[in-house]
Amino acid sequence: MTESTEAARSAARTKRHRRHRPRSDGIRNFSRWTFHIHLWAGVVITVLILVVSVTGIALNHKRGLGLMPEVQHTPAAAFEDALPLAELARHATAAVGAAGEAGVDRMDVRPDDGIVKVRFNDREVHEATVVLATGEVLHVGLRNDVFMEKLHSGEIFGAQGILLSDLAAVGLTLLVLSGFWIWLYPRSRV
Amino acid sequence: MSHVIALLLGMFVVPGVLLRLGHHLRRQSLTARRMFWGGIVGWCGAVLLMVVASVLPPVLWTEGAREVAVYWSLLVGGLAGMGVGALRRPG
Repeated sequence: MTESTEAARSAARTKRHRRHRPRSDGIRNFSRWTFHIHLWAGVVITVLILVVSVTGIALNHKRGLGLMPEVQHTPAAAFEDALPLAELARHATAAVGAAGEAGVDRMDVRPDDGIVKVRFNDREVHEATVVLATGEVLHVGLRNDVFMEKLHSGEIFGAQGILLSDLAAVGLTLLVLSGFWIWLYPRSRV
Repeated sequence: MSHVIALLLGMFVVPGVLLRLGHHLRRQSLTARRMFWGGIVGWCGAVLLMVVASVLPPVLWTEGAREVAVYWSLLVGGLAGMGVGALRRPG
């Protein structure tokens, strides 16, 4: 290797180094703070990010994981022949037992399938699938995706629990921004 | 209420203390280093336990062992790990 080649390589290294070096003490101080924010935010929100990620994946695949009752049904009568909603709710309430005492939360009518899904207000969130035309109860099960949604949003830890979800979002944003800055100025934190 | 406080302490304070203990680790005393590594192992194990207990099986936990695991494991795991690390003799 000749001396001129070595000198050229050294000059290129210096040029690369200068490109990454911050221009002022202000940027250098900011970079130091950014590094500490990245470090502390990364460690402190670890659990939140893990819970939000795991529950998010589970919610994306809630049908495949069987988190919600899925009943296949072909309607035998026209939608116009459906029983009144109050009567369908009565059939569903009788089928779910004690959970029915909490009252009906919502009714999801599906004319194409000839069914109505009656969801209850109890803590476990029971759901009964009822045939629109006859009132026959096809299935009673738990809506575990609702539980997963509450865990995802932090609501399961109480009314203030959603602040945990907010904190995870803010922390993740800080991690992205500080990580980007550290990538831009990798040598400025020391 | 104590459940929530235990969860918040285990979720934010314990990793914060571990991060502080890990600062300039090589210059720390042997006991501090053992506490740090004990805490890391205990807390990481507790994180795994907490996440698994909270979602498996995917039904609501309102009481019992699962609720205790979700709320208390992070705090107890981290402190127990640090305690074991501090008490363990070199050998």
